[in-house]
Amino acid sequence: MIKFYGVGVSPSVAYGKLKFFDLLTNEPCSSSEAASGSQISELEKYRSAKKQLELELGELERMAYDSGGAEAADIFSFYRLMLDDDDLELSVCDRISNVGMSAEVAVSAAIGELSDIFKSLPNEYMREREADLLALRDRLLKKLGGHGAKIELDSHVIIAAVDLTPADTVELQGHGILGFALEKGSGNSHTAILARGMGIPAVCQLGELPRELDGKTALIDGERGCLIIEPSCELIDDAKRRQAVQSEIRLRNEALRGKPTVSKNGKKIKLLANVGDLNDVKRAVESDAEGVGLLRSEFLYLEHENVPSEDEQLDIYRKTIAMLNGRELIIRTLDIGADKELPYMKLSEERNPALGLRGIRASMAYPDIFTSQMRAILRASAYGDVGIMLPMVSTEDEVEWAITVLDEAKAQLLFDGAHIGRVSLGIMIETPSAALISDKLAKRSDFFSIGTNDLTQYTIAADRENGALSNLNTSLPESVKKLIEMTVSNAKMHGIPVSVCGEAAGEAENAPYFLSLGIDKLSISPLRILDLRHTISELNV
Amino acid sequence: MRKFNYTIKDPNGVHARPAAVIVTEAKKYASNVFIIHGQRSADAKKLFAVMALGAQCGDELIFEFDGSDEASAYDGMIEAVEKARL
Repeated sequence: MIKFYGVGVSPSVAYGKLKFFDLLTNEPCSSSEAASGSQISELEKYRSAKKQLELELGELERMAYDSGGAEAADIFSFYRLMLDDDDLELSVCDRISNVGMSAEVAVSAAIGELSDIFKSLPNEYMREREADLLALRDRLLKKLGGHGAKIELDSHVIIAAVDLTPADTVELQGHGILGFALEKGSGNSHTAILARGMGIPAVCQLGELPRELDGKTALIDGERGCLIIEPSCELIDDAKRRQAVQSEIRLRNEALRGKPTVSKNGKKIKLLANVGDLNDVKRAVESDAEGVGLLRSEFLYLEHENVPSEDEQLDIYRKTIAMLNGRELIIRTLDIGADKELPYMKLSEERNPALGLRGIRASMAYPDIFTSQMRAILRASAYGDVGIMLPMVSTEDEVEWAITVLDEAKAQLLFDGAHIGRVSLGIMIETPSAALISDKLAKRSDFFSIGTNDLTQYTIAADRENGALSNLNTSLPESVKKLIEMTVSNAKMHGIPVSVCGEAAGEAENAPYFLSLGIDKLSISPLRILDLRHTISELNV
Repeated sequence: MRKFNYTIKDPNGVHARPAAVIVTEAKKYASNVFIIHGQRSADAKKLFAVMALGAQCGDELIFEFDGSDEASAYDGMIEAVEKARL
């Protein structure tokens, strides 16, 4: 038994085979080769590698957000800013065009020069960021060498490494890794933040780990900050006990897969997922969501230079319907304001975008964009039922306007011989005004969905991103509950279903409240579905 | 031209996240945005340049805005740095 002491940065334990990361991956490309092709093709090579890496970082950012939250995702937006920096771009292009270097050599040299800046910075924390820049370089070199960064790996191993980049960490996650043992690294390192987000044990600063330990059994203990090679039975038993508690939770959740969500007293509720793109839809199906209660359609627009065509939109909606395979789908219409700019939707600068031209208000200012979305959804309904949900409604007129546009689009499509399925129209209740006139709105809509995040922000009149006001933006303050209760009772009176989306919907402690109110559906993060189903199955409501 | 002074409150100084906040905000505007830190200055739209200032907790920075949309750049930057509690 050999024991290495370090600093535990993610508190759980795991027992399994140790695998050295540097024995698994390709060596970074050698950078001494002279340019082989013409300089123009070297420039193209660099640009295309950069583009690929940008996309990959965007994807990693989303994955990190899902498993580790905003703090984890910020790491990748920092990577993207580094990649997009003008100084880096100029320096690489100059080396290729004027010095005649290959793309690989130019990238290494340019980043080497920039990394000197970091070395001279005044504090340790800032100097540590050099590691991020070097990680970015290695990623870029891999892309230039045409190597995917895919890792072939047996699952259920503990990864040992000198240090890991955030991107490595997120990618390894998909391989069922048990834990991380790092020779260097620190509690501040991005890898530590990510490991915590994923609930995987990690220990840093273990000192040099001899490579002959590769393949040996080991115990990684993130609570106590140590790595034990060939641990004693007693230690293994203790770790197994702790591991068992964790896997019991997983097993318990798996047993609920495919089952309806019912409380002990037989109250039923549907658990749907909030999704932001097609990857999320896949995740929603994998995590046994009973449908999608909120498809944020912004991704269709944010990824485009121009307005996405009706056919492009139709294609995405059709794919979503196909992936959901009969489960329900509710699409929120474009919810954009001055805080997220689209090149083709010039919203003038606003002093207070939260109270500005956004959601349905922006749609009314750009009716063509809204009409094209309505047409795409109507055409998609031929492949399965769809619900349309209007964001940021505060008056009846807004709903009337949307109904008119929808009806006209429907009439036109039918006239042209298009096939249309069942389309329902619902309203997001996320302004106090909408809740207060929910009796009137209920007459004009097929369902309500209560957006608790904005409803709370607008009711309490406190910016939810202002940390100084976090004591006000709690989960479901009394005033918000009153508005919710008013909305639910008006919906019941008119016989339309009510769902809740927003963070409060996914919080276990709110489940008894929503259940006893008779909420029909909760739409939450896909990752929380099985946990919440378990919580509800234990409730005496 | 407009300018304001700002004292860094983040215990780790202008490291990755604060630099990212500044650069992301500065890039929204057409105006030139400069940051002056003692004897050094940097283009606020360049990440490496901003980090190279090595501004630490307690250091004072001067933000200078020059251009057609300098008024909104000025307002936007104040809001961004205060919101992020840099």
